[in-house]
Amino acid sequence: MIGIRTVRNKLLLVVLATNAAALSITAVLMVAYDLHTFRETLQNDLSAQADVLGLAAGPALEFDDPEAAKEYLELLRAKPIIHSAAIYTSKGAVFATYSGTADAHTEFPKIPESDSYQIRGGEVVLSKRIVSNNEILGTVYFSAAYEPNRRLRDYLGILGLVLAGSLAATVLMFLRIQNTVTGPILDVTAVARRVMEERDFSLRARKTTHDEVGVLVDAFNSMLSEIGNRTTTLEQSNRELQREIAEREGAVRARDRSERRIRTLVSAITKVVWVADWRGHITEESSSWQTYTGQRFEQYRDAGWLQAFDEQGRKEVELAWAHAANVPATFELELRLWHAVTERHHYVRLRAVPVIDQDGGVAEWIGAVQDIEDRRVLEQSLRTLNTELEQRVADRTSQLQEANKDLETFSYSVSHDLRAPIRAIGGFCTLLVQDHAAQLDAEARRKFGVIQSEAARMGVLIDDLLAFSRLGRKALQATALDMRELANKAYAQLTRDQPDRKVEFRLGSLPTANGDRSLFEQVWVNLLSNAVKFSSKKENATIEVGAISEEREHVYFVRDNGAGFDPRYGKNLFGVFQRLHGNDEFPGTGVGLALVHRIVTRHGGRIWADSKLGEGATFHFTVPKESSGGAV
Amino acid sequence: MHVSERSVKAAFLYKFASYVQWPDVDAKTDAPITIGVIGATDFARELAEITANRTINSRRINVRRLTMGTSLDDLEILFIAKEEGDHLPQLLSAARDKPILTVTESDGALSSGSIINFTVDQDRVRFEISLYAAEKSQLRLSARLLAVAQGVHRGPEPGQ
Amino acid sequence: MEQFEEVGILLVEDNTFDAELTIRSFKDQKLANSVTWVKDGEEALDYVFRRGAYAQRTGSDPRLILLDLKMPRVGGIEVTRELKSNELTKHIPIVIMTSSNEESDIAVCYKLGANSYIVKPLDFTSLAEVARQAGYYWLAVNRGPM
Repeated sequence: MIGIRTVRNKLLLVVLATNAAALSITAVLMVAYDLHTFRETLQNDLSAQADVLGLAAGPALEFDDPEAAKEYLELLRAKPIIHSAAIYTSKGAVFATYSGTADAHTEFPKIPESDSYQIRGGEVVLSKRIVSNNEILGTVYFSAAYEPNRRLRDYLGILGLVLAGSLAATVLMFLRIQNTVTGPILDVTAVARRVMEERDFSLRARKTTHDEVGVLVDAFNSMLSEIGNRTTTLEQSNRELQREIAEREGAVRARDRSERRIRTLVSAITKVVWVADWRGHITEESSSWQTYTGQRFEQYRDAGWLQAFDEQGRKEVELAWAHAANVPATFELELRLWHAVTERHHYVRLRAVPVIDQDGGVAEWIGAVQDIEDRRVLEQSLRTLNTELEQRVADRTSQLQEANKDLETFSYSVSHDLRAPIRAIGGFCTLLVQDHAAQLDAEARRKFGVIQSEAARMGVLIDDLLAFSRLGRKALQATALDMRELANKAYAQLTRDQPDRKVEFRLGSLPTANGDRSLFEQVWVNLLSNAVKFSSKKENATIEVGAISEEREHVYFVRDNGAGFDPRYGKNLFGVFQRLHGNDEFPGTGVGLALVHRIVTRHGGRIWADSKLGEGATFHFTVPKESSGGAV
Repeated sequence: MHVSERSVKAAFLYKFASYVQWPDVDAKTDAPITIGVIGATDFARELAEITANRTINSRRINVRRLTMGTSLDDLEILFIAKEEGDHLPQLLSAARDKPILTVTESDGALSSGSIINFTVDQDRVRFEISLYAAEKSQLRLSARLLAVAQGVHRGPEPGQ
Repeated sequence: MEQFEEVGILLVEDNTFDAELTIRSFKDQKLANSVTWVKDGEEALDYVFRRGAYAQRTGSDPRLILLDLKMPRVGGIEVTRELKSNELTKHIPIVIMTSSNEESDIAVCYKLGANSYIVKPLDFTSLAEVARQAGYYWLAVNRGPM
């Protein structure tokens, strides 16, 4: 116990004090009451006793029997508190006496007129008249012990014990249950102490009760968090402030540095550089200007520098400046400025940059002038060259176009015109054989047959050639083509006349392509007819058609498992009239693939083939997803 | 001063009334107590003086001088002076049937049938009581009276 | 040129051999006994309109005209135009038989009112077949206004 410095001790003290006070007050009251009742009780008791005695002794008095009276008085021996007693006659004479103690010298005073009850010192004296039938027979007199002090002492002794015991019990109980009150307080106190010592505002007190202490805990905690926040905020803003200061210092240093740099730069530059105020008046000397234009400072200061430009240039500068007065922005002009050395105006580029101050207004203008005379000249010649070149290209192109056209018209008309004689040759041979069969022997017939077939072949060649040339002249009409439909149609057309050929035709789904419909019909016909033709010698011919969509193009393929070709000669495949098989092996003109190649390349695609001799060939061609526009 | 014997007896006489309970008390609460005195005219007079303003249990006291042969009706107490000692047995037997407190002052009067008999003992007036007689007369006597009696005879006197 | 009693088909063809072959095929098909052959567009028009060399022509209008396009002087297109724009002759079916596969030609011909357009195949057999079919259709099958 360390005195009254802790809440617990204070509480204890309070409890004890209240207890003691309550008990004391109670004690005092009880004592007072007891005292009062004691006296009253005594009085009543004695009075009653006197009455009883009086009643009993009445006859003795009435019938003058002092002995009987004395006998009655002797009964008082049973009440030791009564020290002495006496009965007086109605005339006030002592009738009978009694003395509780052995003391025979007890005084019996003269009795008062009326009943009395007096407390004298340690004695209480009572005298009560005996009345019967409205007659006073006599008086009873008592003298009894009055020792309230002893009683008081006893009483107080007991009370004292009670008090002590109660307080002791209080202390014990207190010690046991004080925790429920002081415990939470001590907890909060402990946390508070830690917070103060460690300056750790993240600590929180535990709320264990829902009374005022609980409220305290809540308030405490919220204050802590508030403090914590504020501290954090403060620290943050502190850091930011410091950072800003550092930045500012850095900026200031940088600015100083750049200023110095600029000044150095300006003086180091060989270009013409000038500085003007917001009105456009040159205020500082510019040696480069002087060197270039020949003007001296008095001449070019303020607005004098404008004079160095030619009349046109001057106007332009004034205009630009008037404009810039409203909208301060960098501007560039190409003007002619007097060049002192060569004594003529040179083309220069003038560039003026406004320096904006922090209010948004123009502090000053910085200008640079670049001599572009040489460049100008160069530009000029370049332009002329360009134009010439373009002209030449245009000429050449039109020449080529013309030549192309001529060529194609020529090949068209030639092949067209060639058809007629071939028709005649073949036709007349047929007629010959028909009409003069009798005069012809087998050999003759055979010879005519040769003429016929060869003529026919020439016709096919010419047809192919015709188609080939037509292709060149034809304009591409690109539409979205259902390639699958085209391939299917082509195949159907090809196999229509050969229903007994067993060919497995696998046609996958083909993506739509952008191209000329009739041309791609041709492509499918040619490729498929090739596939059919070259697999004609195989029992189980399979022709596959499929496609892959790549990022920028669709890649279609036609695969057959026919004769194939020697891949070493692959590059000749698409040449006009190029054949990799003899006519006896497989008939053909060699134009078909050239045609396909032409068509595909005109659409901006590529075509190639791979093969394994005897196992088949695959022809791939691509169609770009975006239309190529078609070359002429 | 030497109070006369008769005065004392007179005082005692009416005081006896306080200690006697007559039968049918309820019916006669207001009625006065009548004391009949036979013989001793002076006694009667003195008694009348003493009891003039006195009450016993709020009842007034009447004193009547009786002669021999007078009716004993309406008497509560009958005092027979010793002068009439010869007539004691007659009077007492007449009174016996009635609820009358018979008081005598003759020696051995109890055996004649009186209820209270005055005696003198060393110059002091005392009395003796016959409870037997009281019972016979349907009277009840307070124990307090008995306590101050010189003697209390409970049973019948010899010869009764 | 030969002239037949009954005129059915007017063949307008400048190529002699082509003409011979065509006529021969008609003959073979038994459609030939009424084929008149003229060598150019002008002659054809003269024939139909009975003017020039054919001013004295009697006989009905040809029931079918087989017309080549590329001919000297007056070409097939011109002939078509003339005949189809003339009330009296526009009923005559004109089948253009030519080597040209030019789409522009085809379009123009149809626009002018040609009834049919056939490209001359290379071999005679096919030619004969084509001619036969055309003739068969227009002469035997089709019912023209009379």
